[in-house]
Amino acid sequence: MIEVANLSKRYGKVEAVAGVSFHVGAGEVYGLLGPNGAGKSTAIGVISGLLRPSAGQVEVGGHDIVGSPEAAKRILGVVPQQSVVIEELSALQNCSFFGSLYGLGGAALRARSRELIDWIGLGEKAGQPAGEFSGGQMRRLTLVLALLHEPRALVLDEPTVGLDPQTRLRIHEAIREVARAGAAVLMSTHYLDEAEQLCDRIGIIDHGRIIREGTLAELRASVQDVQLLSLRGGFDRASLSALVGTIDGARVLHEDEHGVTVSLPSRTSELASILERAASLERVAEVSVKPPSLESLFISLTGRALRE
Amino acid sequence: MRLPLFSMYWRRSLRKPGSIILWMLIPFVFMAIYTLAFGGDGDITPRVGLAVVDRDSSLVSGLVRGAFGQGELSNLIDLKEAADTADVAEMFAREEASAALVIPAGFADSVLALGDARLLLLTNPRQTISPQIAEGVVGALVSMGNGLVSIFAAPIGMIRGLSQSDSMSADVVAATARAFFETGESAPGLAALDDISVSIVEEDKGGDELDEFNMAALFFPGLVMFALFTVSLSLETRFLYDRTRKVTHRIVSAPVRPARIVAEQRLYAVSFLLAVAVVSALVGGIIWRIAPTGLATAGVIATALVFFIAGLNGTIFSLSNSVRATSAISSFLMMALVVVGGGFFPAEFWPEWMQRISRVVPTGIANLGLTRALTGRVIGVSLPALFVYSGLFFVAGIIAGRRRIT
Repeated sequence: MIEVANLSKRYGKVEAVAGVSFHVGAGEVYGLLGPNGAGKSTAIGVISGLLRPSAGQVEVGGHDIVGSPEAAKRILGVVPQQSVVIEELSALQNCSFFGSLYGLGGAALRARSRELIDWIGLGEKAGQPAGEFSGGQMRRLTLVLALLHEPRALVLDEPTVGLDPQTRLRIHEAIREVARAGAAVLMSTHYLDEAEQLCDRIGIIDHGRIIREGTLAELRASVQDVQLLSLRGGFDRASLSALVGTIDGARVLHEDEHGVTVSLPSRTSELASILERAASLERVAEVSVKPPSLESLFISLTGRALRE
Repeated sequence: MRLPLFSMYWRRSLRKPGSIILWMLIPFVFMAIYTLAFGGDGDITPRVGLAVVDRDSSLVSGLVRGAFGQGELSNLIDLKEAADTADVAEMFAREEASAALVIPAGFADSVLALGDARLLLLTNPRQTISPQIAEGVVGALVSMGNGLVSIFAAPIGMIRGLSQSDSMSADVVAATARAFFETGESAPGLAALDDISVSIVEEDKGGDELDEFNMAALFFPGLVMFALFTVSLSLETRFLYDRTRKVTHRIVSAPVRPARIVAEQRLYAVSFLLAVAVVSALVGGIIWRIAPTGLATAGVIATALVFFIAGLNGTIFSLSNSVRATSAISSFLMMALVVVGGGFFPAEFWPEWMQRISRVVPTGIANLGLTRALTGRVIGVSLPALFVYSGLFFVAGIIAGRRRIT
């Protein structure tokens, strides 16, 4: 349903998206997982038809987003990163306006609006100006506005960022329902748990490139090999490098003024000895080991944590 | 044809019209102040308070005082009697007089002796323009008086002789009168004094009720023009907020062409400004009893003006996503265009070179056109130039807006 081939987007000399390719099938939830600045929102912007690609192709339901933007947008629902509602208008009036942009109207649109507003849990607020809604309510209304025309493909840019747990859960449920109904769902997120809970397939993106892609099971299988050793404190970096050099398959992933992160092969039998030697370095404040997980895979691939 | 954005913008404006109503009130507040200042009877000529201290109390000094209180001059000069210069100083302090004319004792004698007769003019040091007007009027009258005195020098000499002699024969009086008559008859241009009756007759300009001048018709269109600029600024700020809050992006992600989005925005801006213009004109026309003269022409000019304003501000607000920057540029241009266009004070009062500038800027053309249409005058400005401005800026607004949202 959504086909992305060699997609690139440049801003001057900066390549925000660099040759990204993936596809999202009907009924599938695909997650673009990456830290802030990885290129997720730019990719979503191009796929939504808001930005022109520098190179590559995006097709939605077989329609090229550049060549036939209106046909592609007609079957695409978009949930932007920030809540987008017309604050002076009520929830129902917002539905009436956004529905009319997709050629909907009359009793059918009114019924669909009422149904979705009730479904998302805003029934009691349907007639209230959207400007009086809480952040979570605005977010839910934004999702409703993307679903009015029953899109065959739904694109969500960080749909739950900054929301309370209840609203997050409600939006997760809604995304699952939309996918179950047969829509292709593409979402970007930097929440690992969200990606793990919702996505059938995940593309890990960093510096504008997809560096690993697969189903959750495939990614989990690949992370069995990686565990992370994290040291905090003002210790001598050269001593640590010397230590890492003695461990087969170990490498320094990330280093800053607070400490160093090292990837270790999970099969290593010397973990206890390594920990002991690391802790014996002067001025080490904290030593920890992260067991194999999606996060450890992510850090080993990108050298940085998702929250960064 | 469905216009979803156009309808949505109208619905939003009607739901929260507060700030726009405030902007719409501007011309009414200003016009009310103008009416209070000038009385609203159409006479916008300032009246100058002139105190007179008559130390001579003669026939000649009476003639001088009387000259200020007659005919058209009495509309300009508000003559006030003052006992002495101390009285004048108090009147100056209370700003009841802008100037004072002191007629010294012996003034009549000096005039009749054809000697050096002097009048003393004091001006109020607190005021700026009115004392200069008083100076001009007194100077003009003195020049005219000097001219008459030099023409009638001989008979005036005879009067002086009469006043100095102990006895006055009927023959001498008759000779003096005859001398006045003959001088008048022989003086160039004064032969018509036989049957003197000068009045001002205006040329028939073919318009209706031209003399029924309404001050509001002169000032109100310019003030409404200013209000249209401010309301337009408010609308464009709303469009800009929609852009920065990504509402416009969300609309672009729907199957609607960007050009159509911008066209509907411009259409809404024009329709809203036209509504503001019509409501203001109706309410202002009723309050200040502006005669419904030249409405068709005024309507065409107002429509062109609205297209120009919507296009200009649409272009400016498409230059940047900064409210501060765009508002500053727009406000500066608004003030410059409204002032140069005579929005606050009619351009007809300005020096010729400034009027020439006013007649080529769109606001000047529109304002002059509107005031002249509403007062039944000949339009006398290039309306095609106004239409070109309007068309150019309206199209520029659409092009710039489209570039900004895609």
